[in-house]
Amino acid sequence: MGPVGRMALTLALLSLLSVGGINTVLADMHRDFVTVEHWMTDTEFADFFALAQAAPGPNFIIMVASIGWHVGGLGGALAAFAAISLPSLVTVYLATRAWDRFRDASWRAILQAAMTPVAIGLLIASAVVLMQAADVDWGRLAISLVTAGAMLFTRLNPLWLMGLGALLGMTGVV
Amino acid sequence: MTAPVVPVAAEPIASQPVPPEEERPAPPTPAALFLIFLKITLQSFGAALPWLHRDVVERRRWLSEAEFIELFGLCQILPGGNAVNMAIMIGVRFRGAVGAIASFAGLLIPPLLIGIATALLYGSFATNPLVHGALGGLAAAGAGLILATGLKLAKQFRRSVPDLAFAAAAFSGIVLLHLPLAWVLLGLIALGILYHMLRRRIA
Repeated sequence: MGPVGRMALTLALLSLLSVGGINTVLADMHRDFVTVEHWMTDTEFADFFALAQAAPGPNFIIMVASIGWHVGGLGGALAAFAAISLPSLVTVYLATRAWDRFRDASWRAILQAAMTPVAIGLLIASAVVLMQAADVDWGRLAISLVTAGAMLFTRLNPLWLMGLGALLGMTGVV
Repeated sequence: MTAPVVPVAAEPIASQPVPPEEERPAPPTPAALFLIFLKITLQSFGAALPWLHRDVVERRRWLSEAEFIELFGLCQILPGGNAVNMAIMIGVRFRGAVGAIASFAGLLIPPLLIGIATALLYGSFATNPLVHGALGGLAAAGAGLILATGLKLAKQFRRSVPDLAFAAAAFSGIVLLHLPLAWVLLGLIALGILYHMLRRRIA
């Protein structure tokens, strides 16, 4: 199997293992793509990762598509995209249908009651982990906290804050 | 159809039944789903979930806070990123399989294109300090948005000590104890199931 096929298979498997988000998967991707397959160097992976670092989700797709292109051009990018996202699309679709079908089941109420506070605790934890990620940088921490405060206590469009963050980052203030 | 008999007084807010639909706006068409998630992804520059919440719950009121939390809880235990999963679930809720695909496409096609464009331009990006700096600043702002969204969701059960305890335990497991995500997630959910089952027996 060529590199595109192997990459797609790896990504498809990692996709199914990415319960709770893709951060858990990143270490495996690095090990496979850099250490085992030598498709890219550490620095290249780190550069791609910087794009995805802001949050799991769509940014991760940017990273995966870039890596896919790197490995196999347009076909590689599309294969990587499909491999990482389609398995969970199908799983989520089926799970949502099943979830709705059992709307009135008492076990569903229990499961829901158990899941929701944990999910929210994890979400807050993920934000804090992201803030800790880049070596205690007080400037960046300040941006995070000001942004959080503005979103919680004002009606300011968050785009302004993101723009400010980008500007401060670009100009080297933080 | 009988409603489950539960004591209302001490019920955690997150597990109360969804409020009946009153003046709910008409469900979006698949095309609308595609466009709205397209807009969300283009705006988000990173943290998509806060934008998703702001748009779907606060602005358009497609979901109540309780419904969002319900879906979000399910998101965490399913594979894939939270924002993507939420988008798919919202699509399914409103328009089934077509809705799921529409939301998925709207949210993920721009990043796919951006990823390809980035790879093409890679040479000029790699050593550009401006881009790295901007990305760092965006990441910091994005983290703040995620924090704010998490706290907003947590407000829903601020009066429920058990819910706060479980959320705090999940938080501590990750941030303070650095335990693997899967352990924290599955372990606390198992405990939560046990807790709620026992409460119903005793009550």
